Amino acid sequence: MPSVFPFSAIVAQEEMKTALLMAAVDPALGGVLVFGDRGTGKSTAVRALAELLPKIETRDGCRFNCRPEMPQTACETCRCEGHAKPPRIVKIRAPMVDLPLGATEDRVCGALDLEKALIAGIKRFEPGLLAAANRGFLYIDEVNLLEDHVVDLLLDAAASGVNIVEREGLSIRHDARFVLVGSGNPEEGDLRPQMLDRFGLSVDVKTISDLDQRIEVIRRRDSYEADPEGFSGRWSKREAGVRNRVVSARKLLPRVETADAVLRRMSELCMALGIDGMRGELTLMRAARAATALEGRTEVRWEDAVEAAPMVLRHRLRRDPLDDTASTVRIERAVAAMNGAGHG
Amino acid sequence: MAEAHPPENPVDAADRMGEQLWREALLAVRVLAVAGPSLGGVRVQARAGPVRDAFLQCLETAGPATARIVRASAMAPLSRLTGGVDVSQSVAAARLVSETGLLALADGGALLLSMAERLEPANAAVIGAAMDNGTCPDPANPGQGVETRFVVIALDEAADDGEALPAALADRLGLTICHDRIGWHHVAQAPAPAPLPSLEQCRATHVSGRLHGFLSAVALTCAGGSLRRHAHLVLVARILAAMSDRNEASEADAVMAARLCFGILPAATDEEPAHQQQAQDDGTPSDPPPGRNETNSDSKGDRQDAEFRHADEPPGDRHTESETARLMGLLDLASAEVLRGGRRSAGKAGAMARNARRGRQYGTSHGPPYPGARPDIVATLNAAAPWQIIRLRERAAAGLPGPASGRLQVRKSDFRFKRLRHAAPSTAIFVVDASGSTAHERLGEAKGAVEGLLARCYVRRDEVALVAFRGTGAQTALAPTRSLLAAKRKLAALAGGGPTPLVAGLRHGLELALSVRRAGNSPVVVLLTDGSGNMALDGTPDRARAARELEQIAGRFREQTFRKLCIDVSRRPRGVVNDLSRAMGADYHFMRQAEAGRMSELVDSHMQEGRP
Repeated sequence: MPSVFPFSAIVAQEEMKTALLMAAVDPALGGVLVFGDRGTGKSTAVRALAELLPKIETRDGCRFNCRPEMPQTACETCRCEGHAKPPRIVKIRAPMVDLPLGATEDRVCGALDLEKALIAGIKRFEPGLLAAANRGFLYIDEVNLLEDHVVDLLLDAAASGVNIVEREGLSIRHDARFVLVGSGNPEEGDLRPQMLDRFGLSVDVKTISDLDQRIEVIRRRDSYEADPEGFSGRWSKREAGVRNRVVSARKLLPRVETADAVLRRMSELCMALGIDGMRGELTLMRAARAATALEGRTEVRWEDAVEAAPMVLRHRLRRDPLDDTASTVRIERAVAAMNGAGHG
Repeated sequence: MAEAHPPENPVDAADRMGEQLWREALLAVRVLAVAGPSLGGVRVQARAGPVRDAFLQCLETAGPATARIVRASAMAPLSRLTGGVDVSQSVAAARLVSETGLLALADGGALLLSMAERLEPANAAVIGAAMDNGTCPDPANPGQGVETRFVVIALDEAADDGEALPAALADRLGLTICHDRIGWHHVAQAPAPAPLPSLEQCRATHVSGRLHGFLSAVALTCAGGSLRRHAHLVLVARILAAMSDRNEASEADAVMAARLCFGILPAATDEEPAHQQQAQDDGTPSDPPPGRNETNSDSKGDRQDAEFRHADEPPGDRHTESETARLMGLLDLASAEVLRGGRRSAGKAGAMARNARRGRQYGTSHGPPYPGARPDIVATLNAAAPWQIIRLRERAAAGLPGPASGRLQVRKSDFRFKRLRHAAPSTAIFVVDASGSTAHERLGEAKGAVEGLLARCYVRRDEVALVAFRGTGAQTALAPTRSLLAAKRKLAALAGGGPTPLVAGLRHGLELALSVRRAGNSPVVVLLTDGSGNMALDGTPDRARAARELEQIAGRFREQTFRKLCIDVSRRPRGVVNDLSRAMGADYHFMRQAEAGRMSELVDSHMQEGRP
């Protein structure tokens, strides 16, 4: 496997990087949707993030990424069926599964193991992409072009953390806890609002227009391609820094607290923007917590919520075809109005 | 280009152009041979023919990167690309037979996509991911990838706006070659075999900040600022410089890189053809303005010390706007393929009605996509095949008699259904000025045009809608319909007169267009107005405010990818409607009186073009 372009070497696109880190800290956030122009480093960032995160422990040969101490019933390897001793524990890179656009339901959820069925006539479950992505990332490029019924499946699994397969004679239930990352180009087709709403965070990426930054991107890309290992080596210190931030934030997260006053203001913000449902508020709270943890603090401040608000709320605003102000601006305006009211 | 040289015989000029383009095509072949997979590949815009065959042959002989070509049909199912279990073979052989995908087969060579304009976006995304990662899924070992590095040669035969190479792939292909003007006799010249620089040598070539500025501007103009295309441009400029044994890319290299990457023709500016003509008259190998010197690459020289020098560039090495503008002047940007169709057709990938009852199959599903859907027999049998042994045993275990010999056991869960899709119908949305300023007879003409269109739409299953604005607001006079009768009744009842709330009409039209698009149809908005809006959105007669709002709403139209058509129905054409249509990104037409027939023809042709 060639070494991956380092996360910290990605130029600019700060919002996208922050959103991905927040999702990595708290997988319950509900994933990230990255919408924007082509060639802006969307897929590079996601692949880099998986590389950067701490390795996970599992057993050798496990296809479900089970925790060694908690073997799943679906996993024959970890339940050590047939042999007394379970396979040894190995450390693997956080899984990063690419979901190809043409993937069938069978491929996503898992299906009958063809080899065993055809040759031995044995009914065995062949885990799908959801199992492979357990405890890692599931990345869908061009999510807006994916079949609706597959998106439904994915979002269901992502929200519940479990994949259930009920087919003739097969009844399987296994963990599918992953961070869903979708990317796409809105010019090529919209995502239905119902789907949009289920992504936790959403980021708009624009192509970099600053010439110096553009040159820097190309320079880094060039030296990476000329010598991937050497390049990764030069960035390893910064990569470790980011990794440590995520690791300590994950530890810190359960202790992060949100004051009632801040929670109330979050609700007010959502109401002011006319956002339907509780999901927006809930995600805003979680996002603010993740952001706080990333900063190494344990007390959510209103500023944390303000910073996270565009990512959380941008795709939940009711679309008004006539309001030409960008959704980010609308959120900022609502925040400014609230700040004014709050101090008055 | 031919028209640009009045003194010269146009035929000769065209001939020279063809010769030059073929030489450039050969240059592109050499560039690709040097760069290999790091340039992605080449997009060949050409119909099948001897020129294309000759070009492909040149590719095969140019270097190891393109020496071995694996052919893939654009219509091939995804499983052919990624490989997978061959069920029928496996059943026959009673062991698992997996077929290697074309992506893995292409490793170390080139993947040739014929009829690439018909490539499914899903397949394009899979190919793109394999190009990015250098790996492709391994059917024998899911979860792990097989390493594969290949160059893509996409044969793009797109004929009109509707067809285009999927953007996911187009963005990853560094070079664009168009064979349109190359004649068969030009192809006779074979490429001069010359040693090629190594990729490391090319990477060590310096590109100044000035040229970066220019290349960035090219990427912004031609590819929406894609950094991938920008990187391609820089790499090609470097390769060109290294080919002529320089350690710094020249302006000419940068201009040529822009041309090779986007298939841009040289501009026919006043001073430039003279320069070019001179070179050609001299009988020298008439290089285009970018002077390149391919043959003398025998010195190794001091390239080693030409490291990246961007960081410590002298301040004088910054780009200037005028410099960029001057270099841009050397390019005939209108000829760039990307400008021609890419962006427009980009909006149509979603414009296919899915789960349709007719059309082309694009997949199978476990449940019927609509009640009464027909099962896909082959897919169903494929799904049932692996279960046969298991089911036989289960029957035996349950004490049931076995089925008659040779009979398959198919259960409910095996059924697979075809998922079809077809090109979404177009919906023409007429936004009609029914105010007093538009003469009454013009409204009558608009009605006539709509009726004329309806008759045609009925045949094609397209739809028509009508938004009328007058007085203080706009209303949907006719919701999207295919019904002639309903339309005629509604139209007859449409009255005119009053002030002109142009903004309200446009806003209503936009809302309708967006909802039409959400429903899966491709909208075409046709605005008929004399352009004198005098009512603001809130219904107050505030001209200044109306003008401001008009600007805003026009901008919103501009952002949308659907087709827009502005028809000036004032008695004499004035600048206002033309300005508005420009602000909206619409096509402008002036309609003389009593030409309802021509109008419906015009709109009709737009609807046809708007089809995916």
